[in-house]
Amino acid sequence: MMRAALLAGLILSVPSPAYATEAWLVVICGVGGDAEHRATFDGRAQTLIAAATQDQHIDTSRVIYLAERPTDVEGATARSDAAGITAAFDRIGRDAASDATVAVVLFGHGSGQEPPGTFNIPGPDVGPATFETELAKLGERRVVFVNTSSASAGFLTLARPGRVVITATGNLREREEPRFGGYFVDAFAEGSADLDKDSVVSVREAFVYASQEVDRFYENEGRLQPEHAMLDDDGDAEPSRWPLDPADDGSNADGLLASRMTLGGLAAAAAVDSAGDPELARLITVRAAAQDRLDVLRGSKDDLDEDAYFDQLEELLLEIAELDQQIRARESLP
Amino acid sequence: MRWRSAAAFALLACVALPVSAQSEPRTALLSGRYAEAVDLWEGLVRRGTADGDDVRGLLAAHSRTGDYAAAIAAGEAFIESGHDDAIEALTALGEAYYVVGRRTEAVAAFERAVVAGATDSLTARLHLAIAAFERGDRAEAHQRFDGFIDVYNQGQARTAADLVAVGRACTYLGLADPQLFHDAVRAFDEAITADPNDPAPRLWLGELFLDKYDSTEAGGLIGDALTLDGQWARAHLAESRRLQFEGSGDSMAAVERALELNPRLVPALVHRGTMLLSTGNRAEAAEAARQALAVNARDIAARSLSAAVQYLSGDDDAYASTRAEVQLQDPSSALLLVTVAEQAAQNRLYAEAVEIATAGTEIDPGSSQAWGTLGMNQLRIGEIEEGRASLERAFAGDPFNVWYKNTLDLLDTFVDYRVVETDNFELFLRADRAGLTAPYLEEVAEQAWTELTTKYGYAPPEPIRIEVFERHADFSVRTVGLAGLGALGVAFGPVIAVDAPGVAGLGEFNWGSTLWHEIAHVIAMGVSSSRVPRWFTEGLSVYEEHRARPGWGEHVDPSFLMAYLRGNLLPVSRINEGFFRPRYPAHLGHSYVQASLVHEFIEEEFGFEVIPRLLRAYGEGADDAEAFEQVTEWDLARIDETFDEYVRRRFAGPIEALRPQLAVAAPDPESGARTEMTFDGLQERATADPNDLVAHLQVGNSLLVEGRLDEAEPYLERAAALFPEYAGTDSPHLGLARIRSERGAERLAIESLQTLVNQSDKHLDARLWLAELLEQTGRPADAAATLETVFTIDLDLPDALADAARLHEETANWSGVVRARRALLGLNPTDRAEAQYELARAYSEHGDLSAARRAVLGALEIAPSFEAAQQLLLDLRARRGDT
Repeated sequence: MMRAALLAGLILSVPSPAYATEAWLVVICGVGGDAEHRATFDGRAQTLIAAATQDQHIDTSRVIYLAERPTDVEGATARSDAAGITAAFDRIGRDAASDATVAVVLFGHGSGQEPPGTFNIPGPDVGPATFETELAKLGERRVVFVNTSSASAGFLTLARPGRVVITATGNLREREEPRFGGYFVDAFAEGSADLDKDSVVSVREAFVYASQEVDRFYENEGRLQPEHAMLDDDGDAEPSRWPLDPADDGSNADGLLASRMTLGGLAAAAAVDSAGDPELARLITVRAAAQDRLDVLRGSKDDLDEDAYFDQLEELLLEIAELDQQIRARESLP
Repeated sequence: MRWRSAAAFALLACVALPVSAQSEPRTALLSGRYAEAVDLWEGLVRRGTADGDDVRGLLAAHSRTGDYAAAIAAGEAFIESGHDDAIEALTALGEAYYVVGRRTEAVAAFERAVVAGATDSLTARLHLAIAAFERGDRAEAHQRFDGFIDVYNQGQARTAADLVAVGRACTYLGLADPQLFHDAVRAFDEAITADPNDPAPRLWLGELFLDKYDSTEAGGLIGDALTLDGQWARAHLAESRRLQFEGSGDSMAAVERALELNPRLVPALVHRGTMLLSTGNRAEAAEAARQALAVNARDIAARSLSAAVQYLSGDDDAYASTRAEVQLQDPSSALLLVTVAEQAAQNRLYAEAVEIATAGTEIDPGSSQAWGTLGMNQLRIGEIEEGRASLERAFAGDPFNVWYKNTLDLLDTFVDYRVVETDNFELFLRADRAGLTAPYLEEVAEQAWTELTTKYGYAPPEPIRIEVFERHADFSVRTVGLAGLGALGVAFGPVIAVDAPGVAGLGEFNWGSTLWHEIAHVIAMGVSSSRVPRWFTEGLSVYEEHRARPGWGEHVDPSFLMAYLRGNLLPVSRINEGFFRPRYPAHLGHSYVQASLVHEFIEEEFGFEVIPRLLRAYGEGADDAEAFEQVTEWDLARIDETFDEYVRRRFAGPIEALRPQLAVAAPDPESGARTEMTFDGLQERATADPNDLVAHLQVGNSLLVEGRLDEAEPYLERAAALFPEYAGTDSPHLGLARIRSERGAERLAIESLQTLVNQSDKHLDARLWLAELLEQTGRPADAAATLETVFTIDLDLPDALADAARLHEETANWSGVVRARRALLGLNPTDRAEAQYELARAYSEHGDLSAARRAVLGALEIAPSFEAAQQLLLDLRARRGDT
């Protein structure tokens, strides 16, 4: 709890519009096709919702869970047919704060027979155009849209500035059932994707973790990899694969927005309360400034002599370590 | 293509001869009945009814059996007779002169044939061009060869012999313009069509394909030629060359067949001598060269072989003299230098090969072979960029050469590699794998350096470059230029190439023992100035593997002892042949084991110190006989005899236990079929003979597979008692471990597994199991040590590496923790910050504060808020401040 508070304080100090005051989660499980797949998709949905509500502090009232057979599944709020989807986005568009963050995660089967591909739901399948219409109802709210189905690459056309779009596959020919979705859920549920040890799993970290685990799975199996997850969060219609390296000219820097977003958005940040302690507020401000300097230094790594870089890095990291110690000590005061 | 295809195809219809047009003696000649052909033609000559074509046939028939004197006599007699057709015998007579080195007379005969307009004058023109080429007059030769293009285009090549002449001319032209090899193929093809019964065009074409590295096509054509004429020595020689290309041990038998048919066939004598020299048999190689030169004292290939023998024997004066004579004869030929360079490389004298091949490129800058030999050997001594440049030049002149192409392709991938420097080595590793492999490679390499340099009192020049290939095909190309090499490692002296840990497709192998083996080669090569015979250095490397760590190296197994019982192993005096021309599929592997036993025998009989003394004797130019005589005062016959006694004595038990199998396994003398034993039959054998190893082992393992553990145990125990050292995949120790483990007798299971892994360098799963059992029984240090043996087999084992790190930490073995943590980081874990932090902690505990600082900075660079890492960084700063 203490570390979460610390982190949230730091997040507060970063003047980014990515961190809204309110977070919504829409989980849509499409047609399973058989009991085994229904169980898999619903299991992933429930695990993700549990992680989002418990660890990322999303209010359960802001979770919409659409299932193929909602009466058979605990926690499902409606059927995942076209009407259910429309109703869900109508509600968020109507009820959510204007600066809320909305995460939409799809579990199920996709089809790439006809571009741009579809997601299988009860009734007619839906494609990116349907979701474009639905997402339009959210106005300027920040959106994380994740399609974990096969042949999901067509949904990358949903990318816009201020929107993180992730698909489990890199093209419509990748039609095998992807493993990405399972690992993506694990990233939030097991906490092992907290790669920067800040006690929060960002969307970027979840994407990187799941992509790496998919790589590892197929490498260990000695099989050719039939899925390549993609992320686009700069709205340039040029999605990126892990490891999200920008182009040499610095363009196509996918991953920046995703690194600042969690499923919970401001739900975690809301736990911070430094207003009553001016010294803590000061320390957080200083720490944020140190973080900015660290980001600049890391960005100039290739331009510096190796020893000089690590000397500067050490000094900065020592400063940050000491600041974090002070912040922790301050927070532990009664 | 320089030719018009219409002209080529137009020719086909008008040159084909019906079979019935051939005379009876000619049919006999073409089907290999040379004596009959000679009799028939000599009859015609005696009766005065022979024409020029008959006499030409008679000369060919004599020449096929090597009776060049008779050929010359018959040719001269016919010409001197003033027969109207006398000019038709001139070319054949010239060929006979040429084969025995009477070149002036040969050239005169060819010129007369051309001037007189003999029907085979095109062949005479070809010989004049070849003569110019072989005396170093390349400009004249090229002009003459080039003339054949016009001959073809003008439709003057009408017979099979004419088309063969065109094809051969194009083969020479192809040395400067490789596209012309395609035209040579076309001409030979047309010659085959022109006379389908003549094996010669097929053989020429087959040899061209072989020269251009297409053994499959060559094999078909040479086979066809042999079907038409199974008595033609030159065709058997071609087959021998092809078999050698394929790496077949039958190549020597094929060339010996050629020499039975024509004992004076100079190229066959040279080929046989070259193969003998490759196996280190300098005396027989010298004799082969002498025989060849007795036929033709001017043959440059024979002189080149002679020069190679002289060079390798250290006879510098004779070598210099031969070299000077050849240069005088053909100032533009690099053949001698290429031959000597290649033989030097065969004998691991790579630096010398570079020097000699360089001289070859200076004499003949157009020789792709010289550039190729130079390039391949530059790469072997670590001159990578120079080697690449040489190979580029070689490939430009010989674009069919798969060795050059493969090697150049491989060199292009070197950008993906990086160098990790250690105290005495330069590890050349693929960048994305270096983090995983470097810690363990460094450990093994440096330990080998320390132990072996101390033991042999010799330290090679540093650094030794170790190239580690993640694909076996890449290793194979780096080593021999082709994929498919059976070896796992090769030492060139200053450069070692090995397969990376866990390379796919090779099954289980121990990279650690392989690397040790190769480093031992480097030492042996250094002590012997690279003159150690292959059998001695291979045996010594296996011997040193055995001494490095328990279980390392190949060991005596039932297959080896069965080969011994069957008399398939060669005596020490001929053991080298097993490395170069193995007689049966397992012979090469058996030769390694046998050679290692020779070293153990030497150590037992004379003491270890004799081994370095033998190496030094080889270095001074001694062969096996001389070296053993000098150092041990024993001749090879005595070595052979005493070694045989040593093997019989040392393995008396297992040998007797395998003897019952000898009768069973022997194939039926008529059908060759082996007797398949049923379970009941094996059980009867085991009951009848308590010393029958195979029966006990197979019955025990069969019962084990069926889960009948109680019944299996006595059989396996008996098998283990009969051959306690056996640690193959069906080792009784493995079965006994399973039985004991399932009974909960963990301590006994551990004993069985330890016996197993201490006598083999494989069994990865058994080692993991052993480590688990050792940890469960409270022996973390032993468990960690066992995992270390796992990592010399494979490193892509994140769980085992993590276990090793944990177990080493439990026992405060921080160097072990560091190694495992470095490797884990090299596996590119998802959570790199955690991996960096754990490595930093290990370095810190190990006392390497500088490395700890760098690692913890690596962790915090990724995760600046990582509390544990922050604390470690602060601690390190404080400790550095203290110091």
